[in-house]
Amino acid sequence: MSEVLQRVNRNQADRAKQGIVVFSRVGQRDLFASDTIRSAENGWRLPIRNPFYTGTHLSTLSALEVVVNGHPVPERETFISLRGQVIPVAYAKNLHELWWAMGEVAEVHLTDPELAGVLLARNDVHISIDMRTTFSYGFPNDILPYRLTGELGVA
Amino acid sequence: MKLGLSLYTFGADVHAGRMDVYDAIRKAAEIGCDGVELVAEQHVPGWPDPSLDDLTEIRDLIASCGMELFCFSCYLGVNIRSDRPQTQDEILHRARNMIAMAAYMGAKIMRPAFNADPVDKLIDLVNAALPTLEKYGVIWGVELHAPHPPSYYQKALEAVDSPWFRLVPDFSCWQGPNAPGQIRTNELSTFEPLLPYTVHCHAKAHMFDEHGNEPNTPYEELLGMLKDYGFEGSISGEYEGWFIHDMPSEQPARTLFRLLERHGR
Repeated sequence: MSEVLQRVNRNQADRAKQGIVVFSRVGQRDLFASDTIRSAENGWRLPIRNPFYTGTHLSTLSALEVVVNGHPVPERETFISLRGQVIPVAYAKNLHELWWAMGEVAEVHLTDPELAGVLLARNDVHISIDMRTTFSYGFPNDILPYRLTGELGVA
Repeated sequence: MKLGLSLYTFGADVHAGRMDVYDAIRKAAEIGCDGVELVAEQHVPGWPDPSLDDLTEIRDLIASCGMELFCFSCYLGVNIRSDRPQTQDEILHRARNMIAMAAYMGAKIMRPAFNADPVDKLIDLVNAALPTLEKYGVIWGVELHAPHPPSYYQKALEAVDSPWFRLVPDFSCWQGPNAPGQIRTNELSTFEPLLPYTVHCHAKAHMFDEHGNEPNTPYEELLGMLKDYGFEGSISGEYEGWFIHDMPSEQPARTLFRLLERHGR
């Protein structure tokens, strides 16, 4: 994805400690694995890479929220698919047995029917991920926040 | 001393899906490394339950390139589950599996990152793992890394007092205050009493100047201390600038290895 399409939210630096900014940078850079949201049978699919700097247990995904053109997709309409296993994102935190490899692409499934009236040819897609680190780096509550807005098309 | 690279150095390309572990091993060999270090959570397909075929393929590729596996690095995470921390028994179970895997891969040193505070937690865990380390012939190389000062590790090393528990200093401990993410800088003299315990080092680098030096890290002094001591272990260059700058890994990998050769041969 072109770098010009991505812009890290500036207010993150205000909220986060230096270490969080350093750790978050690589994840934010590579987070969007495609420049399009793809239409699918039950809604839309958004490929994302594991933002952490190593692989990690899926249970470390404490929160994942997607906002499209200012419209927040409800958690109940948000799923994550890893190697074909589709999981309600609210349940991800329970699945410590599932491994999300370094840089591995997962698909976020968005089944919100309201998106049909929200999506345009080009869209501001904001993704917000909180990942718990399994190893303590001194971040508050051991949570590493990733916040990224990108301009994505629809295919 | 033997010089090489941690495959962590190739993180920009591995994270973005432009390179896999096999590409990284071949690139390290092309650069001239004596050996490499693997980070299991970054490089081993199917982690934490890898197939024997994948482990064998990685091991054999390293050997066929004329290199050795200096160190098998992994993490002993505590916050794996969202409902509770790992118990000491669960962590020990994982550690023992990793020791066996390190042995299968042909690594004499395993670096399990484990952030224990107070240090007694680390001492207890290592003591419980000692019979497995001895059985498989693998040294637990505890990484000297922030946020703990060198004295923390000295206490653990003296308490365990075993040839199967040794030290892997990360050069970031002696980086200057301008290094990215630097929490605490330490006097070079703090390395001296740790030299007898040192079996492997992480030569951390974040950036290079026009002469190929790491401006925040006293490479010449640190490698000089190791040479003067007669260190016969291994050094893995560990480029971490990919956290900050997205650029292909090859150039910084070559620059870092040349820096190691300049002061470490």
